[in-house]
Amino acid sequence: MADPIATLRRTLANLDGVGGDVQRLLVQAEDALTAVEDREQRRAARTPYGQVRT
Amino acid sequence: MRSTVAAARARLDELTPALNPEMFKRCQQQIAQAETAARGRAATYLKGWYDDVHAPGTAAVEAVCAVRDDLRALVDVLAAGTVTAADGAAQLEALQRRHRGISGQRQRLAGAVDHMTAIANDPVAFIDSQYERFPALPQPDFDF
Repeated sequence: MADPIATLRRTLANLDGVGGDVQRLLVQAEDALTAVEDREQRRAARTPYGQVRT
Repeated sequence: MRSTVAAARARLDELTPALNPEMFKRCQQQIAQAETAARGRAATYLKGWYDDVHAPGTAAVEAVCAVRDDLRALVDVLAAGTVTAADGAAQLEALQRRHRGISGQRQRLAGAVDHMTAIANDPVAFIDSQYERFPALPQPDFDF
């Protein structure tokens, strides 16, 4: 077996590297979800004739 | 006399002025043997830790890669508007839950690496600490 601690450190570094990507994607997903929610709310606020309900 | 290696070293320091070179050398050899044995036991212990955390760590990397890929796909469908907000929110929540589970694995792996590094840096001190922690463990036997 190669240096077991070095192997585990590499595994940890991989986890952290991909974990950083996940954190960025979570933010992107939340932003994209907010945009979808806003779109749906705007759509729901429109009358069948395209006017915005007040 | 049975004791930790550290205690044997301390005794030898005290005895040194009263020992002839031959006796001193014999005591040093006994300490060296005990240190070699301790390093061997520490290596066994390290292998056990490695075996315990390596496979879960590798699985965690695969799991976090899957979460990343699924998140990318979710961002794409949200941006394309091909998923409702309710569905998107549910998918995002599920991915966040999966990610939290992996974060726990990461903490366990990081803790194991720290612990193993401390053992590897001073295996003899680690085995000595095990004798103090578990008094039933037979300590090395010294003639002094």
